[in-house]
Parts: sequence; C-alpha cells; structure tokens
Amino acid sequence: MHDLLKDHSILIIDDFAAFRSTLKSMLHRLGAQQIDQAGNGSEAVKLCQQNAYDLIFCDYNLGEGQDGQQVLEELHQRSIIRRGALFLMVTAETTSAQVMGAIEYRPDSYLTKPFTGDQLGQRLKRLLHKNRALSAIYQAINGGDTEQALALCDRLVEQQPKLRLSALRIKSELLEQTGRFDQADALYDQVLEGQQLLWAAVGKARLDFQRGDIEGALKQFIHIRDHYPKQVSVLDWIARCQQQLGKTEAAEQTLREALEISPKSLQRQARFATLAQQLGNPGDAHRAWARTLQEGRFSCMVEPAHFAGYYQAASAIAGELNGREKRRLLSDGEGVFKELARKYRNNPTAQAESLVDAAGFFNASGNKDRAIQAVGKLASALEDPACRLDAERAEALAGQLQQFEDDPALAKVLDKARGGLSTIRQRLQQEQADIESLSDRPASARAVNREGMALAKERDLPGALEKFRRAVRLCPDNPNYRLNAAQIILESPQLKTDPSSIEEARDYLARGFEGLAPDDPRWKRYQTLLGRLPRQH
Amino acid sequence: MMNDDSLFETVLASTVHDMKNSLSLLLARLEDISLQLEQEHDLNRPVSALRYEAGRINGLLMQLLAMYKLERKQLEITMVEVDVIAFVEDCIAAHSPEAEQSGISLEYDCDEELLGFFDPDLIGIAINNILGNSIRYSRSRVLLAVQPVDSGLQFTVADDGEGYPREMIDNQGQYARRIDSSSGSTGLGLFFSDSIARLHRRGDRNGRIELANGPPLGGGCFRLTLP
Repeated sequence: MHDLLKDHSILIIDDFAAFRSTLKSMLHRLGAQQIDQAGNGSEAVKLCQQNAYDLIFCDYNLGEGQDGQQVLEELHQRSIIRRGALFLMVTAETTSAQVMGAIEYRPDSYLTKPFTGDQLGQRLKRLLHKNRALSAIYQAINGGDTEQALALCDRLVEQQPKLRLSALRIKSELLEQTGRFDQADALYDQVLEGQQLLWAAVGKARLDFQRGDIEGALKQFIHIRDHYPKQVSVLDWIARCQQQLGKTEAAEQTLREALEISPKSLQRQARFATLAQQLGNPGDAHRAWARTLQEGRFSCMVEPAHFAGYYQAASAIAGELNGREKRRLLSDGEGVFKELARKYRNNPTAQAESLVDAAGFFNASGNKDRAIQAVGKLASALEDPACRLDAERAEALAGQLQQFEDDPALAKVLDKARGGLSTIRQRLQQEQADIESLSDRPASARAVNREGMALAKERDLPGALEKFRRAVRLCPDNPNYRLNAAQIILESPQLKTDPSSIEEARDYLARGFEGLAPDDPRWKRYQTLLGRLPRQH
Repeated sequence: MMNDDSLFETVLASTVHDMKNSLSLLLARLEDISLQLEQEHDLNRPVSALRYEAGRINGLLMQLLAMYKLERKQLEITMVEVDVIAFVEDCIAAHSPEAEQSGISLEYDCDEELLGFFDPDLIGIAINNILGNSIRYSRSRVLLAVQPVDSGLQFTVADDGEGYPREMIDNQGQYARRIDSSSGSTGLGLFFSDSIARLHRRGDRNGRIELANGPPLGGGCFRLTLP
C-alpha cells in the first residue's frame, strides 16, 4: 500500500486546515508525493485550471462560498476535470445521504468523516484498480475515438466480468450520445434483465424522450418513481416530460416536490420559478428566483435570465405588498442589484440581458435614483463593442425600453441606451442583409472559410471563429464549416471553459453530419470533437 | 418561535455534529500515534483499544440521534443508489482493529459491482452495531456478506460463537420489549435494526430482520433483508 499513490497528483479541498493536514499525512503514507491544497472552491478551480489532477478530495461543507457539489459542477461545466480523474466527496454530515440524494453530477465516491488511513487506503486501492481497467476506454473517449472505446468496453466485459456493469454503463451512454438509440436500448434491456438498476431504467426512459416519444418516456419515469421513491433526478425528468406535453401545472407540482427533497439545486429552482411565473404565481416565482440567486452567488451556473426573472417577479408583487414586507422586497432588490453588478462587471452582454428588468422594478417601486442608475449602466453596456445581443433579444429590449418613455427623469439615460441599441440592431440587420444579398452563398462561404483558416493558422482564434461563424450562417448545412467553428472553440483554452461558447460548439455539432459515411474522414473528426464536448446531464 | 422539542432537536443535532468533528480529530491523532509506535511497543494495544472506543462512540452518537428522531416519528429514510462494496469495506474497516485485538478473523463476501438502493447512513449504524456484538460473541470468525435477493438486498452477519439465546430466536419481532439493562446493547441494536429495516419501503414491501443459529458459520446468524 505504501506506493499506491506514488505517481498521482492530488488536490485536497477543505476549509479546515487541521483536516487538510490530517488527510495529507494519510495520503503521504500511501505514497503520495504531489499534493496541493485549497481552502475554498475558487482556489480549487484556479488550481484545477493549472493542473490536471488524478485525484481530488473535496469536503462537502466548505463554509462561506461554494459547497463541494458546486465545485464539482463548476469543474464539469467548464470541462476542467478530465474524464478518468477521480473526485471523492468528503462529508461530515450526520446524514450524508441527504447530500447524495441531491445530485446531478455524481462524485466517484463518498467518504464519511471520520475515516482511518486503512479505510482510505482500501477504498483508493479499489477505485484505482477499477480506474486503471477503464483507463484505455477513457483515453479513447478523450481522444474522440468512439468506435475504439466501444470495442474496448466489449473486451473488458469479457476479460473482467467483475467490471461488467461499469463497462456496460459507459458503452450504453456512448451509444446514446452518438445517436445509436436502438443499440443503446437493447443494452439497457440486457442490464435490466439481470438487475433493476436505477441508471439503466433512467437511461431507457431517456432514450424514448430523445426519440420524441414524450408520452412513453413520462410513463416509464412515473413507473421508476414508484419503485425508487424520492429520487430528484427522476422527478426532474417527469417535470421535463410534463412541460413538453403542455402539462404546466403538473410540471410545477412535480418540481415543487423535488425542491422539498433537494432545494439546493439552482437549476431546479430556476425551472420552477419560470413555470410559476408562466402560471401567474409571482409570489412563488419570486421566492424561487431569490433562492436561485442565493444558491448562485458562488456558482458558475447562474445566468442573466435568472436576474431578469427575479426582477420581473419582484415587479409583479411590488404593488400587492405594504409596510415591512414591501420594505424588505425593496432592500432585497437592492442587494440583488449589487450582486448583478459584481457578477457581470466585465460582461456587457449579460448586463444588457438583465438590467432592463432591474430598472423596471426600481421604477415601478418608486426608487427613481436606482432606476436611472440601472438604465445608465444598461446604456454603457449597449455601447460596448463587446456586447453581443442576438436579434430576438435586441427586438425584445427595444420593446421593454418603451416603459420608461415620457419620464423626464429617465430621458437622458434612455436616449443613450436607445442609441447603443440602435447601433447593435443596425449591425445585426447588416449581417442579415449580407447573407440575403449574396447571390452565390456557397462561393462566399468558401471565401470566408479560407480567411478563417488563415487566421487560425496565425493563432488568431477569435478572429477565425468569427469567420467560421459567418460561413456557417451562409451555408448552415455544410459540415466543414461547422467542424471548423466547433474545433476553434474546443481548442481555445479561453473558449472551451466558457459555458456559452461550449453551447455554441454543441449547436454546431448538433446537425449537418447525418449524410456522412463512417469512412469519410470528416466523420472521424466529428466524433473526435463530440468526444471533447463536456458531458451533458 | 421554536417549541422546546425542536429546540432540543437542533441542540442535539448540532452537538452531535461538533462531537463528530472532535472525534474525527481524536481518531486522526490516535492513528498518528499508533503509526509512530514500533511494532512491539507496549502502547500498541491500549492505543488500538482507544481507537476502537472512539469509533464506537461515534457510532453510538449517530444511533442516539437516529433513535431520538425515530421515536418522534421524524426519522426520514433517504434511499440512494449505493456502491455496496464501498459500504461493506467501511463496515469492515471500522471493526478490524477490534477484531484483530480479539484474534477474530473478520471476513466479507460481496460482488464488487453490486449496487443497492437504501439509506447507507442508517443501515450502516445498524450493521455496525450487529457486527460489534458478533465479534464480542464469536470464537474465531465473523462474516459480513451481502447478496442480491429478488429486487432487493440481503445483509448477513454470522459468527461461530454460541449463537443467539433460544428465547430471542423464539420471540422474533418483539425487540422493543427486550430493551432493558440485562439485554444491553444487543437488544437495543436489534430493535434499531428492525425499525430501520421496516422503514425501508418499496411498493407494498418493506424490510425485515431475522435471527437464526447454525449456518453459515455454526454460531449466530443475523439477516437484514431490504426490498
């Protein structure tokens, strides 16, 4: 055991220095040489950007700031944890199960304090053994070679029957991710015949959802819920199906139930808030948005739309409240405004997407100074050349600005905001006109693509991406341009850790490749890039 | 305003939490000391005994908290998909110093890929309690085995001791009545396991425990079956 961890790089995340050093000496005894430490989530994320750790120990309770689950989420969302790295969640909860039940991203294992060195060694020995057996598969997936990964899964099932289920789980998820639904379905059936496992049952139902059979998926998820009570991920799926089927009230009720079990998920709170707002329950919506932002304080998953939603709901209830409740609403709104300004200090697009609703709230609740300030900030954001609103959002914003008309106090800042917005809309119209007026779009796309390749060669990645974006706009069905655009994003160290760029890359890879034959070299490139996308949950 | 019950519960929960943190550090210090001792050092046995007792206090604290909630019908079972081998290894590791000291061979049997669906904290308290008693009453061997049955799981804790008293085997299901100072921790442990097992429900089935003497090791055999 004394050289179990010899060649592993390790990160310990715990806010309690005494525990860090205890764990560190336990790991030293297991042969670890390379151990870094972080006292909170943001330190940990920074360290993970610089080092590809093999093993991460993270305490669930990190005091002020992110909790362990949020650290895990951020590492996945920004793809700064590689597939095959082990993440161990350390809990001191009297009920660690509450921590476990509440998750979308799962750690590889849980360690409950207190644990001994022997216990730790035993656990690590088994996890590392399994990881070694799976490492060739992970390597193939990381390198984008899906076929090879699938073949390796089959081989592992034969050679190491003890790891059969792990191999089958990876295999079925790979088949699912590459659109081979029938094969994935058969595999889930095969697993379920042996044992009723939650992941396989959920996988099978998820396939129906992806094939568009929402009714069928809903039926299966409800069946799963009856056999595995209180599983929030299953409830989330049920709500998603209900929403797709237009059963908004049922979906809201399902999410309410899920939130009672696990209120800490920001995304679940946000989904519930959106539904409550649609159903005309601004009180529920406001509470859920406030909780979303509270959980999002240290999280990378909070979005401008969450701030916008908060202020819309707050405006809707402001008229109904009086006295102390009203004062509390106003001071909460102030706090959120500070948070918004802090979070999006350097992000004019996000400011442009959320500040108008903040201004609306302050204006409606009689806080004129803040309203002026918010519109002023909005104007500066719109004038910033880095502000990238899409056409739909820009249209909507123009409409929203009308509410401030005829208000002399706001006239000056409103003018400024309108000026910025009109420049953006002109640019968007120009881009649209470009596309429509070009008579020979394939030829222009080829030319633009060539310019992009030249820029990429000079490592001007943002410049190249802009060109490839245009090429895709000109010829949306051409797989080459889509591959180029996605590749730039996934190769750029800045872009590939930015959630919105990752979404953009995902969009490029979402269509345009249906006609490729498996022996086409572009098919392999496509598979490689797909493999580099962070996993979606 | 908080009523007295919920105030007490909050105080109890936060005190248990603090005590667990202290125990964590205490255990870590004891481990440091035991690693610095030479193999044949006189202090090895007492340090090992201290480590075991500290671990036992930890388990009993958890049981105390759970019992309090159980009695107030506030004990929530949080069922999750559990990596069973990791669960088994933790139980074994918690008892190996004690087994080693009493010269008992502590064995386990469980498929490495087995997944279960249960509350690992509460079932952990129950199994650890039974394991501790089995080690005390066995001659040379104790076995913890977990197997899939129907769509659920069966935990077996067996030893090669004298077995459970006849009267206990004849009156299964009446564990509450057996809690008194004479039945000691065995009675309490069985009552707790029985209650926790019953709270594990799936569909119209719920968990149960069973006592027997004889196979697999010739002594007592405790079985906890979950749906």
